[in-house]
Amino acid sequence: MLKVMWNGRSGLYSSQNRIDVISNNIANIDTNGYKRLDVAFSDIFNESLDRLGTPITNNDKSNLTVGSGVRGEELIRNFSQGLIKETGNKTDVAIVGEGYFKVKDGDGNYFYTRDGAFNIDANGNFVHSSGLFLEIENYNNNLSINDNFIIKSNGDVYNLVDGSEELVGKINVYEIIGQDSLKQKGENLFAADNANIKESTNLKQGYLEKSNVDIAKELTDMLVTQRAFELNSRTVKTADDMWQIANNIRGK
Amino acid sequence: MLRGIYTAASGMITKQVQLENLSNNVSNINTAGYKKQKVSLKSFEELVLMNKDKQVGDKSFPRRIGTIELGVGIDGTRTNFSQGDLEKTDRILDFAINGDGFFTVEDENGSKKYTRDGRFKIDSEGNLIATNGYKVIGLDENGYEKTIKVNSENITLNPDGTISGTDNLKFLITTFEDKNQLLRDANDFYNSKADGNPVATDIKQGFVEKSNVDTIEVITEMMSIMRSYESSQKVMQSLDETLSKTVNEVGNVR
Repeated sequence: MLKVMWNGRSGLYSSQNRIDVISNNIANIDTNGYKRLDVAFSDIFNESLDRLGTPITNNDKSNLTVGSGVRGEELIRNFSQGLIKETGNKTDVAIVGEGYFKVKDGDGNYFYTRDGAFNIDANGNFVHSSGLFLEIENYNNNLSINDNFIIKSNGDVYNLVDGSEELVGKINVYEIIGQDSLKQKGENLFAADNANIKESTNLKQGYLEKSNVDIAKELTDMLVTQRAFELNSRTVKTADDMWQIANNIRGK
Repeated sequence: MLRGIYTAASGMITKQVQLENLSNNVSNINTAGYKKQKVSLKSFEELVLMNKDKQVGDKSFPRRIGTIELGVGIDGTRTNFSQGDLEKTDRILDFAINGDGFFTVEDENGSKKYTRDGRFKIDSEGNLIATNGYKVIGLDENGYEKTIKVNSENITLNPDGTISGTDNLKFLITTFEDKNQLLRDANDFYNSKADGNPVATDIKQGFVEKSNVDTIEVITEMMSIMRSYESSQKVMQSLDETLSKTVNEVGNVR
């Protein structure tokens, strides 16, 4: 009976984990470039039933096992493309397809992000919302927020001066093989060990990639998880009722 | 009378084990690719009761009274491998088997394990891995087995079963003639003593196979387990009362 309670508890606990993750997804529905997370459940090891006091009729005891609950701690990220939304802001850049922007912090550490909401500071740096600087190839900080500049889909940045285009730098997009090894750093940033410049890219100036959270899916998942939670609490309740029945063998 | 109490107890214990199993199925109701398990019960072999009451002269003859059953025991646990529902997730690395077979993976010692859980990841070396780190095995065009290595950021499953973004590998889907010999391992994996056969099955990208645990079945089974537990308890109680009568009241002079 104790085992039923532990199984039920593991189910309650994992469902609770999943609700936490779902609520985090919903909270980030407006976070640019956010990729939804889900909990991957897996069963725990199977235990033999060949134990003291359990009546067994079969001589072959190899296939007499019962599982011991569920584990729901492993997170799975969904890297699918988020919705591209027009903002009309010339410092907003969205990546269509795969890839990441590379940003640098004050200590020279590199991070990767899909959030393309940049700003140009007084020194001409492209600043990410987290305060980190966007890496731009061959760029001499010679743009200001008032300049009329164009970011081409391959990443080339041109400054429009008196009707002529002047190449001022190139925004590279990085590809990371093994996205699941990305380490989440908060503020939409990831750390990665091996990232390479991606050859063909498709950037869109004046657009932002929204999160790929689908509210309908999250709410459905929430309902399903809530029902699973209820069902698990019911097994605990049933175990409790049965325990009471056993305790009342010599009752009254 | 004592025999009867043990028979009732065997009923209670087996119901308890059935509830253990059921609670495990319930806790895994959201586990991708989970296959429900069932505990099957069987009564112990019947015994024949005889006595030698019948006496003719100085000889006694055996007389068959009938049979007696000594309660119930657990006969086995069986996995129900029926197909689970497919849920669309649009995640590129989610794969679901629609039909027969198992994804084949390799643990750190190189031994094969089988699973229906197709939620994969790509590790930093580019290996396609199961959520717990086991490498997924594929087949190349010559039919050789290879762990699947991914060359690009993402992979696409082609209609002919090859996976682009890898060296034109296919998933190695293994099927077994006798699925009952599969032993459950931790984390949704199965071990097999015998080698299975590769099979071409319909695999869907962007889908997850849900567990095949059915809520309605769970609820009804839970109720019937509890009620029959209660019945066994009542049987035990009345046997105990009868026993109490024989012990305490027989021989009393009123």
